[in-house]
Amino acid sequence: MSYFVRRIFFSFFVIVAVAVLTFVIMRLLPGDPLTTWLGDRPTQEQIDKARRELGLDQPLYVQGWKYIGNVARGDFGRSLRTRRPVWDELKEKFAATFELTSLAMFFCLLFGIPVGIAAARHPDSPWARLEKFLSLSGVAIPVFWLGMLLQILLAGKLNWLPLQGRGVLPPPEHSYTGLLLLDALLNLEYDTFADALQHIFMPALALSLASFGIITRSVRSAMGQVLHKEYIRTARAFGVPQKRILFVHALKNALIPVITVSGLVYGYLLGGTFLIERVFDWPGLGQLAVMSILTNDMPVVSGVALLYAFVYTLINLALDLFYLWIDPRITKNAV
Amino acid sequence: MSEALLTLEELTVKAGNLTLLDKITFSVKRGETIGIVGESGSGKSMTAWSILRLLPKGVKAAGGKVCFKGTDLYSRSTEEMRALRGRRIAMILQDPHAALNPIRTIAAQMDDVIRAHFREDKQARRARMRRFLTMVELAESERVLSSYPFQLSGGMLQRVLIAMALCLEPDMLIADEPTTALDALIRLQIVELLQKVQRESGMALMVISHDFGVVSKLAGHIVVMYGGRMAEYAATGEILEHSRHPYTRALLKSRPSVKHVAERLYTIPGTPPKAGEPEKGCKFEPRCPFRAGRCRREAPPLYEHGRGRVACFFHEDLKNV
Amino acid sequence: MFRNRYTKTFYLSSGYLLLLALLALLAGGLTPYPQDAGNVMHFTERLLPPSLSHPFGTDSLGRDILTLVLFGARLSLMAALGVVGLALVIGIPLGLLAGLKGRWLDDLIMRVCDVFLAFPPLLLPVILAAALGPNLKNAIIAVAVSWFPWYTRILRAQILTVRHLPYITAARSAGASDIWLMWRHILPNSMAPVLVQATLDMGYAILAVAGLSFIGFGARPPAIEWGLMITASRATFLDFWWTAFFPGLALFITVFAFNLSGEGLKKILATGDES
Repeated sequence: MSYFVRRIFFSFFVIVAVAVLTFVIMRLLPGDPLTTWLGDRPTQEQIDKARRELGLDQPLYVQGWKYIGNVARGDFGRSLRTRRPVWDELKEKFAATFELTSLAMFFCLLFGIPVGIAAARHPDSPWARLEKFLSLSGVAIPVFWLGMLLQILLAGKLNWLPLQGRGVLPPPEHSYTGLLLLDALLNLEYDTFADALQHIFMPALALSLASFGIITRSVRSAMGQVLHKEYIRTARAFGVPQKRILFVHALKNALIPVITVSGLVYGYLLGGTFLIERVFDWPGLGQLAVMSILTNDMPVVSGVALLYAFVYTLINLALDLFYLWIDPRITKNAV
Repeated sequence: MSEALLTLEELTVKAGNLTLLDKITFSVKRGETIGIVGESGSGKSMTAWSILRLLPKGVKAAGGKVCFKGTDLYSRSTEEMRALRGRRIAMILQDPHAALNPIRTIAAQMDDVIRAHFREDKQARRARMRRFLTMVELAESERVLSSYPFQLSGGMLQRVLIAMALCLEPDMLIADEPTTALDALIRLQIVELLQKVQRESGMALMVISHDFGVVSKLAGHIVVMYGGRMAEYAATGEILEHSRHPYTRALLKSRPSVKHVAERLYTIPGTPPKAGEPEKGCKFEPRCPFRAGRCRREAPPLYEHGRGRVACFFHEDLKNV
Repeated sequence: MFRNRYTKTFYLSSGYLLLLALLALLAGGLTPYPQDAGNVMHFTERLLPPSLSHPFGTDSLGRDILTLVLFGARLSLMAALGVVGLALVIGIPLGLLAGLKGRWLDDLIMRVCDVFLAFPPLLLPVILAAALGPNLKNAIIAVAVSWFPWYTRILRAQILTVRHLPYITAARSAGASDIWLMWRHILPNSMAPVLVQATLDMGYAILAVAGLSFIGFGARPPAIEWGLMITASRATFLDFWWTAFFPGLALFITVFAFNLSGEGLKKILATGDES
């Protein structure tokens, strides 16, 4: 358990470092943040006032220190562009991005795991060849190009799905989670659900297709190894039905390396949001990040970077926990 | 007419063009113990897997029959075989650590096995587990049940596996190298345990090993295999005292013994053959001290000689040596 | 025999890459429309679908897309070499320091790497590229600086393993000096995984730079770069699919080829793990 405590402590330190690093880099950005804050042609008096207000007259390290202190208290500052609290901006956009990446992850696993299993069980079948092709080509596809191709096909030519955006219908009455799909269901607003689903489908699909191959490869490799283990043969020798062997014995063992890989994949998905959100005009963190970088909106950029790093670290920590739960050998200190 | 429980009739198993098992023939009656002895690669494990029809990819039965309680197992459906495995014929393997799933408790794994064959409720299943764990002389059955494989020693795990095999109350147990992965002291205990278990349950036992000592303690009859073929098949006493096959003799001679302390341990010159070679003639010929020209040209058939069967042209002569 | 099959793929993909490099170099001389690489506009030939005279069609300015793709190959290949090269230049010395000098230096370097690696992919390059000013050169630098920690980690891990190998200990006890050991044994044996990874990464480098160009933090007009071409096509791609399709296809095939070559190299060097 002390291992785990150390990990948490360390992750925390890393996130702080990320904040500092972003902060430093943002200060190097060309362009004057004051322009964003004040608009065109400010008077010298306004400039000086703003400079003091924003604390830009302080030396760098003081600014940095203050920032960390504020963040610790939950104060992320105000957006220079919209003047709203950064936290509010982050909250809105985060839900959108989180919904997108989570659905993409779900697709990845939903299709990736069965294909990987099939490829492992029948190494010479079409499944295996499909897996091989997907795992090599999937990671080579530019995710934004894939998104656009989907748009051409599904929105342009076939007109099955809407082109862009998160939804045309107004959001559900009670926002429980911020996730449109869930909220719509919880509110029993099925129209809104369908609308949201139609809008999220293509971007999530594009995101997942690119990372899908990593999952199938990992599953195939892990399953392939497990299926050759002696305990699988023993289970068969005792007459345990094949289905049970596959899903209870083999899969659980094979999941261990797959879990590690999933953390990595989620990271790729998060990175992909920058590109996909642009293609699909998705109102998420990626778009927010780009916009705020372009307008030198430093607090927002720092906030976004912090949030991304935080989510990424959290996901990996959660996966580690899951891994510990599945494999008792670690906690019980096996040799 | 005493019926045999299991009869192998000229069972032949091939992997493509390579013959892995060539016309294996023997039978086991209820309550009897048969031993299968041979070096690694002789096909003894393959025989066991062939009985259960769990052959690896690319390996297929190419001839002969495996009759269990009257029906040829190779004419059974997949589901019938599944129901039979463990329930009628159970098998335990060499390395007990590898044979169990490292991330599941003993109880969970035994439960899987029981549920695959019996419709008992949780209580009954638990009771069954405890009963058989006690039969294999594992004292704290509850503790064992809630443990993971890595928390138990090799000897204990082998007992657990035996218990798992027994708890389905099969007609026959196949033990493939049950003692090989264990220390010498534990080995003896396991052998005695197998004897006791067989006595109490009345089931048939097939012991496969390269260790003549283990086999001769347990088995009433012995099949000696070499290169995928049968070399000799007779009662244990007959094999030990009056073996008529050069290979069997060589094997017996190469046992380390406390009684005859020789200067050098006898080893059979040469190496066991790979699958499929030599094609013609007797498999043992290259290493046989009694070989003749004929041995290279033809493979000897399995001769019946009243007290057993031998596959050697010169078995008559060997009788007197 | 199995080995041969992989080598064939390797030759195929490497052959494609060499061909591409050659074509990129000679692009100006090969195409019937060399002027399209510059800032031209052919009003009457805008947005023509693929045909014999324009196998990839024309874009919204009337320029031949095949020509543009060939010219774009220059930047992409340069990006691949630039990113990986720079990342190695930064990463290898740090990895050496961490692996050989050890103690607090090792810890420090590793912590720095951990911070870099805590950023999800693309976030750091985006911020860096924006900070440095958006153009291709800075995009290359941004990606390289975000990636070097990978190489540092790999090299360090390998050095640590090699250092403790029995034959090194044996040599040391026979009197070999540390520096000599480092040069002749530890270094050469540690480099392999790093180089394999670098080859595999070339494709991803192209993708990263193209991605940055796509959002606007990389190559800028009038540069001709595949990612840039795709973002430029956003106005027209729905009705004129070829404006987006071919640059992206070029990206895909090239990255794919780099992946195959990398995998092939891994098998040839026999250092990679079983897959």
